[in-house]
Amino acid sequence: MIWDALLALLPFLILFIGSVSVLFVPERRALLFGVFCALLAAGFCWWPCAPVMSDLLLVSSGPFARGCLTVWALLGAATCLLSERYRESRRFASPEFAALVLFCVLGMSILAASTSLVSLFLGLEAMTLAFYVLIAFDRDNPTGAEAGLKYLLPGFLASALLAFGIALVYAATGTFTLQGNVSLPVGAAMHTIAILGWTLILCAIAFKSSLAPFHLWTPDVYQGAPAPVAGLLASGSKGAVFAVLLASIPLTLIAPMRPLLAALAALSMLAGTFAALPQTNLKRMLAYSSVVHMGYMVLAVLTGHQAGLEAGLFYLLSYGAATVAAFGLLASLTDSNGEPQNYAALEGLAGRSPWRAALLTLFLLSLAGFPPLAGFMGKFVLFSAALDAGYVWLVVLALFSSLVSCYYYLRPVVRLFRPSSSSVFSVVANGGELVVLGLCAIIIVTAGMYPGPFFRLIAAIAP
Amino acid sequence: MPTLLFYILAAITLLSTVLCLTRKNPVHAVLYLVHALFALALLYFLLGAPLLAAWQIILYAGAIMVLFLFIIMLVESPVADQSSRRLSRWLPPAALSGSLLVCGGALIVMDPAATAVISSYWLTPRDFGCALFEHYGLAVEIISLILLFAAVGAFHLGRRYRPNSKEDVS
Repeated sequence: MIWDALLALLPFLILFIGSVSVLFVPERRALLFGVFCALLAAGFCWWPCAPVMSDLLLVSSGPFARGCLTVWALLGAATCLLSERYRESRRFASPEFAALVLFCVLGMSILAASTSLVSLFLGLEAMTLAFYVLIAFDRDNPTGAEAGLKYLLPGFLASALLAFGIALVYAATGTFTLQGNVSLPVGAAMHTIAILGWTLILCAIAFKSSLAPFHLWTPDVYQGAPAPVAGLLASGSKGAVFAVLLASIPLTLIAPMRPLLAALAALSMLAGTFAALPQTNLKRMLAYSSVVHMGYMVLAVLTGHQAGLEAGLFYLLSYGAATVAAFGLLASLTDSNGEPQNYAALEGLAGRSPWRAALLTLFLLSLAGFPPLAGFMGKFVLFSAALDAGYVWLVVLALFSSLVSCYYYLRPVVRLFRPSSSSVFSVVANGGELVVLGLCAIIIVTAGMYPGPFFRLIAAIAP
Repeated sequence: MPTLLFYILAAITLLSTVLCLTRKNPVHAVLYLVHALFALALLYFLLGAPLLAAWQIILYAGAIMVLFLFIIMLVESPVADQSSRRLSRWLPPAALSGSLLVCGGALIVMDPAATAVISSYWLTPRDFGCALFEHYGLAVEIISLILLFAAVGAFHLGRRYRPNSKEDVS
């Protein structure tokens, strides 16, 4: 029994032991050790283990949880690889950085694997706590501290809302579990309390995934955070939150919340689109574009059927790969002067490093949804699933916002290919960065042109 | 009678929380927070969880708030405020503490163990420990990990020397 439980928890244990022991690894090797631990955890995910009482363990060891854990671990490894040269130029303390990235991955894994509201809360708190520090990690950068504070205060508010919501749900239903046939209580008074609780929980989730009325922290935090951390924040934390929303929370519980979710989606698409239009800072533009993408993701939650869920997971994959890569590319262009965040600083990149200019173009085009890239395929399956579920007005809104999005994605691309006399930066990317960027580019191109294997993989792990 | 006590205690909790949020002097804010936490402890006692009530007082109203006070007094030098000698300034906290004292006394006299609304849920320390470490054992472990990494993060953000200067020395 105890061995079964330990075996089921093995990837979590590897992440935890790795994140503690990396603190004792010398400065130069720490990030590589972090990559090693993350890959080890990703590998041991698929070690066969007996099904254990997951309600006792609070985390599931099912295929969906394991699939998510693999993806988060790979994301953590990518973040460590992308930070290697970044930390040298910005003089980071790498053991602490690697430890916090691994702990963040642990939190995201617990979150995506949660079978009860307790582990949902704890996973979210673990992840957010690591992000509080990671965002403000660069202590020489005053905007980093500002960004950390701007993530901390809404984060506290979201945690309070989540805890209050969970308490109300527990008061109404008498259970924390998310498994099996849980449904809202029928009695009138308790029903209202449960609805109130779930509304608060959804508000907290909207805070964490920066859905529209709760998105105000996003641009400032992305701008101030180190670029690899911003990539992890944009892809991993939002991915983990949506993995919970799509897979762990039963649809019977969300059903009465549909109008709220539809309003959040519509507001996110509109607010994100119009705020992204005038941006001249790549990170701020990506922040607003992530608000729009999270609005699309809500469509997948709204559909409420299996095809919609799989479309949502595919969309999350295509969005996550492109976002991590775009922030990673920014990290690979960073020198001791800082990140070239403004479009003006990126001008003429195509002349100096044509490969990276081409890759950045590829990532931005995928985010915009140009065919034959993954972003297009993701939008296609997602919007058609939403159309099947009858959300015509939301799909029209989504099509409108993705049409407008071409403008703000192409603006920096045009600047890349414009000749510029000033060569402000000419940084050579190192091997790790090239591996991550190349892998993301391969995923984006293959998932766009030959999506069959990806859909089969998603169908195999989807709950 | 328990219902009346519940409303009185809930009102005290809310009132002292609002006062805690609006005070300019951090020491006053902490003292109002102590009131809120104490009233909450009495609410737990009323609901049939005496162990939780005791811990609430020992840990939150006691240890953590004392820590808060220490930190506030270490960080900023207290300014002697002449107006604090006036009696009217002492009235609100005195009224709050007095009513809390009366409520606590009433609770002891009433002994909600005998008359609790949900008497089957009277929680003994043994039940509490079993629930905590059998059912939520993993949650306790995760919380301890969160605290560990909070310490790691605080260490990184709070230390004086720069990592590069450390490399230069070695």
